Amino acid sequence: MRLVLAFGVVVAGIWLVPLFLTVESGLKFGPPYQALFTLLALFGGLVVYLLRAPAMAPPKSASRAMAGVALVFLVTIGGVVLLANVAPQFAFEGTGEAAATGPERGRVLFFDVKVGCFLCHSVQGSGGTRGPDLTHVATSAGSRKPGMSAEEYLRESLMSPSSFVVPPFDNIMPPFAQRLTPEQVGDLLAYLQGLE
Amino acid sequence: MPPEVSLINDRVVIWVVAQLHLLFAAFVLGAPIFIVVSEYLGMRSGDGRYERLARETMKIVAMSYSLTALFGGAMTFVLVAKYQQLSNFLFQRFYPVFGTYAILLVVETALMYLYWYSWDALAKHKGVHIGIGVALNAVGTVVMFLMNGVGSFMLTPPPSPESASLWQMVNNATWTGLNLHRFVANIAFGGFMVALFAAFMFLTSREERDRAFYDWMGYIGNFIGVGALILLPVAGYIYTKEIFAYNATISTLLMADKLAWFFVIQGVLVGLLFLGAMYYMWLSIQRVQGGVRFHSYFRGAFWVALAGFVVWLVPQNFLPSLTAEPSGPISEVTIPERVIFLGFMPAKGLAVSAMVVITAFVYLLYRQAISTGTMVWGQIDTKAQLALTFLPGLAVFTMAFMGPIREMARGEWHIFEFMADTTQASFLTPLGFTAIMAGLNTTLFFLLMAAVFWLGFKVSHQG
Repeated sequence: MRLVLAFGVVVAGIWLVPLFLTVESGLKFGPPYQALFTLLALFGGLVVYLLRAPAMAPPKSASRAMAGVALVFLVTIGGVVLLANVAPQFAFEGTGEAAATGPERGRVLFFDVKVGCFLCHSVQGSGGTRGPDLTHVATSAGSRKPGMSAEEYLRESLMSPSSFVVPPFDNIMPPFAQRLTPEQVGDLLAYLQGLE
Repeated sequence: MPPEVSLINDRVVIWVVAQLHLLFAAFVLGAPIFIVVSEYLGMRSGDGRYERLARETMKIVAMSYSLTALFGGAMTFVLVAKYQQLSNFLFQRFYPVFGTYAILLVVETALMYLYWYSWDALAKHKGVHIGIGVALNAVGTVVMFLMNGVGSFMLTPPPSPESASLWQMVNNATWTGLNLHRFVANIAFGGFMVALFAAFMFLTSREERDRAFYDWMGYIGNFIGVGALILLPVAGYIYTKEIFAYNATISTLLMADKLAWFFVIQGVLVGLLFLGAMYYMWLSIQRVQGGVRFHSYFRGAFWVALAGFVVWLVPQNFLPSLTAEPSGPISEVTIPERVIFLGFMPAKGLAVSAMVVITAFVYLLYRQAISTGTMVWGQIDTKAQLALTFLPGLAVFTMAFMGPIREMARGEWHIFEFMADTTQASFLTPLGFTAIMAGLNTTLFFLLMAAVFWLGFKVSHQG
């Protein structure tokens, strides 16, 4: 009874405390974290219960022993498989050359360590801050330089970044003309032009 | 599964046969280490139980050899038939390695049969018999190291693999780490599997004498399994560090991108292994006279381990990849700013270290309790035997789950940044699908082991 009560208090705390917190407090956990903590609290309760549980009598027959072993196996493996299936999943993604579209390949390039765009630029919160945020770059690129379309501007920024440096950022971006193949440049531009 | 790829595809087929080959190989490599040590302890102490333990386990190992070879042959067949470009390259460039491997495999098999069938004949020459066992283990370990050279080469090849020397290819950036990790893991695996046999035999035995023996056998199996398990995170850390030093792109994929959540599940698995081993010791100490004085330490240790478990499992975010877009506010699926340190490696490392240290502490307490109290063998809570069936199930699943992570770390490459994998079924499999495959392979492995076990123990006992 005390165990159930303690579990109830912990779970109530997990779900009720965040209601009184704001995101700005830097302490407010979202619902997926709350669900994880509830699961962990349940597991903690199970451990406490098992530590206190009375001794279990030996099985009365070999078939019952077999059933017990099979049950432990099924619960253990089934539980982990279930957990892995409710965790965040990425979609099956072909890695063959023909599998991905231009923007998808461009996105992979953007976040590739060897290309390194994301080390300075961020998209929707992912990436660095030494360069401009590119979350809506497709919208802003068309008005950066008069007479230059979004694609022309982005291409110039990629091949010759010092031509125009967005204030207040420093002129630190290297030119990518020698680093990327024409196909990779096309893929990267396709991705950036989709960021509206 | 992508619509253009059928459910039973080349990838899935090679996955199943390679995994079963590796699981049986791990068993026939890990258990003989355990067996020879047990035989040696029997000789030194004069305790006949060690001899019986070694002999009964070796019976299972002998039968498992043929299944290892069967799945090894099936794996080679699928590789040659469906992955010709890769297998041609590997067989040509590693020809001396595969040649040596084949010769040593014959030597290993001969030693295994000699060791098994000379048990009675060399009963009065134990030193010679143990020497054969040591030779069997030495050859088996070299065989594993050779194939680790090929496997690790695929993930971390030297620059210009076409012109690299054979030694440069074998002694690649992660060969040492993989050798160490698999060697320690095989011992843990062997120990837990022995504990499983012991638990099953305990639960189905009717004689008090048999129960006492199998209770002791389970204790020894868990003792070895936990001893190796404590070292395993260190070996894993060394291996992972070698991968990171080789290429940071792989580390991004593993720890920050698509495979990051795989490591959360790995944390669940390894954490449960530690907690399961501790729980067995907790139950085991109950039947030690005077063991009650250690209870409060054990309880405290469980709380520390649980705290470490929680910290280990707190993810940086609930996103499946670095580029995934959340369906709701980003703040709901990412760790809050003030506790962001919980999601970083120092916190995880500290949590794992705490679990390792506290398990070692419990282990020492347990040994202390046994050495200062009286152990009544055979009179143990049935839950302890179920814990011994929980541990090997989880250990095998962990191996079957971690293997695909190592394979997927190569991304779209058969040989990293050298030979692309352009086959139709070349894709990273999502976490859920990977876990289902690991579950399938684990179940198949145990069904086959159950058949071996039934033939080795039950049928022969009835005879």
